[in-house]
Amino acid sequence: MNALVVIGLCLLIVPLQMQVAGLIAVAGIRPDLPGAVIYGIGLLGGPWTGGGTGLVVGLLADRFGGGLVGPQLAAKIFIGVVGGLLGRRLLLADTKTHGGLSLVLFLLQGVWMTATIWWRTGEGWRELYLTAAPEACYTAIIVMIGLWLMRRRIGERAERLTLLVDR
Amino acid sequence: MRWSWLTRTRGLAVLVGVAFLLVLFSPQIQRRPSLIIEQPLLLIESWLQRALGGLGAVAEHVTDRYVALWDLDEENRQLRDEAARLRQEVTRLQEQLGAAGRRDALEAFGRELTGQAVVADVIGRDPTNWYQSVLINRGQRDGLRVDMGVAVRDGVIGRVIKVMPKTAVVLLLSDRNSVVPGMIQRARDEGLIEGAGGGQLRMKYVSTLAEVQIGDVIITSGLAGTFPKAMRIGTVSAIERMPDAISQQLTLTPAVNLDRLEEVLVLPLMEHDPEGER
Repeated sequence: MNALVVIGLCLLIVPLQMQVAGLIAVAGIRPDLPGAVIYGIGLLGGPWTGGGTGLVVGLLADRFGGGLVGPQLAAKIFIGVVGGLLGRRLLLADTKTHGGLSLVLFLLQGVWMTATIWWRTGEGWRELYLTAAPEACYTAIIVMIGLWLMRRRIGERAERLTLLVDR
Repeated sequence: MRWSWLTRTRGLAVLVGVAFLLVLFSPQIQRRPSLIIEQPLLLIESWLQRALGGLGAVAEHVTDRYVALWDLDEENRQLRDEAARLRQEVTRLQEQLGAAGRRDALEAFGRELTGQAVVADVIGRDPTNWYQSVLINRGQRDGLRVDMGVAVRDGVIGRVIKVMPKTAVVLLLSDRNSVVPGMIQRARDEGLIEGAGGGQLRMKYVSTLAEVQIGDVIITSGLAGTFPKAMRIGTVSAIERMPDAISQQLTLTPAVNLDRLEEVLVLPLMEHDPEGER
């Protein structure tokens, strides 16, 4: 993947999430646009690129958010690395499969975030169904739309990887 | 430009990554970014945040006003475009006038309250659904410090928790991690106000002897040094008394609509005053 595109996305996605994601909120729940972008970058660029993107975006999300520095950082690195590992084996899987896999990833992120809130405040498990589940579903839909829009680029990438393996 | 160099130096990258994470989790870094590589990154990001500050409003305007006009015929379209343009001009001028008025009122309120308050614009919401915070366009360079109180004319909204060179993060009262000491205005009993999720607040540790009623006004007690005394926090909307408990718990409705914040006032830290008479 072109590093300049990745760096640009890393820097722009958090401000966009903070200022624009509210416009597409459903019942007060915004999709996790940075998470969707990291998953996509991991899928196309591999686990190292995904993990690196997750590190920068997660750090920015933690710094500009109301929580401690760490929870989003860890979650986003995880999404990037797992997205990258999935990309090695399932790059050409259909969008529904990717939707399902990303749903699981974002649900895990939700459980992790709920656990960190519980650890700090001693409550908050209600957030599992009030925030984690709706956010994961919404973000998985965004991932599916994004991958469907990028299907040609994904095909080209898979072709290049196949050629490399053949050599 | 490719990333293949990274895969060649995996071991080193993992070591550097682990060291970076360890440094990042240290308590001092939690409060203020001080890593050499983090400062320029946050500076660029703050600049981007400020530059994109109006993007949300522009996008909202576009979706509200123009998408609905697509299916009209050409003649009507021209006339309506002209009318829309004029309406937009009026809206823009009204908005400018309103913003200037609100800002002037807030500045006057700040002068009345304390001499060194800073007026700031809200330029972003929390990047996740997990916390209730806003980003403001004032930071360390404007004299902002962690724990400063933030308010509007109607009441308090939260406190500064992270300060960057040109921006700062304000934790809203409705966040679960927010704690503010407060007082029932009529009964004069004190308690701690926490965020309860769903935009509600909760007042804990209120004595069972306190005579509280639905609709009672809750104000700041002035004890923590973040807010002056007697700023409005909210009103009591529910009372929970457990049998045999030594305290009662109140549910509050915030005095300020925390979902619609535009300009806010950052208050200077108060000197500790045992009487709380500020």
